[in-house]
Amino acid sequence: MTPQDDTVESYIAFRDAVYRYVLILGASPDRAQDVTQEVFLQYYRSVRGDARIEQRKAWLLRVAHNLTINYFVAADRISTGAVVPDVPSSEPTPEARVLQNERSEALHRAVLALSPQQKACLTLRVEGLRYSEIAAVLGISRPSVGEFLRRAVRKLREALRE
Amino acid sequence: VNEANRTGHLGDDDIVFFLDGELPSHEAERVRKHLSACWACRTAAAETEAAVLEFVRLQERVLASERPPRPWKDINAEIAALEAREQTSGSGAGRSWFRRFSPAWGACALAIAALSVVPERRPAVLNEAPRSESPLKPGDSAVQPLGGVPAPGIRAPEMRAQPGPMEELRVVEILHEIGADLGEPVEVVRERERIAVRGHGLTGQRREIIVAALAGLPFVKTEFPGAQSALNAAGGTGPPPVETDPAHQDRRTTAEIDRSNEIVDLSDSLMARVSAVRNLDVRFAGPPALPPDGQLRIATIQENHLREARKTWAQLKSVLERANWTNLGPGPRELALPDAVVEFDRLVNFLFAPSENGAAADPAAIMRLRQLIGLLDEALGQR
Repeated sequence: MTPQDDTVESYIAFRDAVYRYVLILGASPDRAQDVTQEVFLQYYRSVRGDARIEQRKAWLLRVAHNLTINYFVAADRISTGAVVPDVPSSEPTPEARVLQNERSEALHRAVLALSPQQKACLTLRVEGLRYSEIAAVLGISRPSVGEFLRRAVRKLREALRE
Repeated sequence: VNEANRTGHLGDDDIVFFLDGELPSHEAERVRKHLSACWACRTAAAETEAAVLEFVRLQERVLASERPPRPWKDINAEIAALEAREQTSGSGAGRSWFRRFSPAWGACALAIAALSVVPERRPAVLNEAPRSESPLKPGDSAVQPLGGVPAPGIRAPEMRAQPGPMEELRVVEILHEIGADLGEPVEVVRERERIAVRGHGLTGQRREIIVAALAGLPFVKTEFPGAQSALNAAGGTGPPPVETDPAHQDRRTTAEIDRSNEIVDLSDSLMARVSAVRNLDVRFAGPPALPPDGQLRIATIQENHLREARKTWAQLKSVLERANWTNLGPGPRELALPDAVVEFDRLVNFLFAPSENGAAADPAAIMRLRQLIGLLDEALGQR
């Protein structure tokens, strides 16, 4: 398979997953679409350069994760000059928009109380990644992934029990 | 020790890992048996499933309300545009990434590698000290947020304004994966707000490999100073060949030159491995200290290098023995390993460079080389 065919196939199979993940990380739909596009061009460059990519979905999500963070860091430096970057306040996150209509106040609170890592692990798990793949995406150890998930699920469970 | 052992019931970890199919089979069997016997734990498992279901539904609602604003671009057209851009900027010619290092180039690369180890990092490390009060300590990404302050909103994970040693380690690991930590003139410098990866005099294709491998890592900035310099413009394949004066070449037979080349290649390779091991120690000596997870990952890279070094060393020794130098005997072993590495490199270059006065025959130099090889052999044997 040529690098281009490989990229097209991956684009069709994983474009939505990459877009969803970038969106969940807090990017606007517009930005998420740009990042997604860039992720697949990076993929093409790597495949063309003979890089061996074994877990395509995990690889794509890792690059998406890193590009998104780079974007936040850069955007923050330009807009506010603040040291700790955050999602620009003018851009309510997709979850915040949905949660305004959310019946379950408890779930609302629980999701907002998740740490960024817990949230990333949960989202990647929903995408069907195994713990080892999540670890590769986030650059953390597999036991850490288990711990983040355990705590995240516990928070959600306790919230729903209220 | 998990929660089950303390309370007689399954812990959250048991339940979550079991439902995710991440437990080893004997553990999974234990959890399955317990669940079939224990109503409390079965309720907990059902609640866990319900919580996961709610989260998935929430995400579905989020995504349903956030369709991509524009139609997706045609990826084939994007790739064509990318190729066109790169054609005009002149990179990506089909060249071999792994060329044979000439002795002069090898020495130059080693010198650059040696220079790149620490000094520039010091200010960055010192600058981090006052930041240690911040809740987001550098290098703690896998550990700190667990019991930490809940995020006030939805934030991208692991975001920090400054790179820490764990980010630096990730870069070093990736360069290791693509073999860019073996004396190739690629330096990694963690600065205050970024991790600079600089490659000197690399081919276009090699630059591309490095850029792709590091694609999108946080804080990373790749630079290729002098990429369009005379070095590439002249030969197009990296370093210029060593100038050889035919009058000097005549002094050695083809077999001698081949053997010299082989020794130089093997010693370059060996030195690169040994230097890489040492550089890792120096680079991550801290402060701040790496967490145990990071230390383990460094040890893994070092073990890779040493395994390869042992193979190369066996080859080099066999070549040296065929050269019939074994009767020189071992000498005093008073030098420390880093000195030995530097001197070994100097000696190899001295001994095997074409030279008018036939340095290859210098018995004192050969004796010294033997001593250094002995030292290196010991050092390798100890790891």
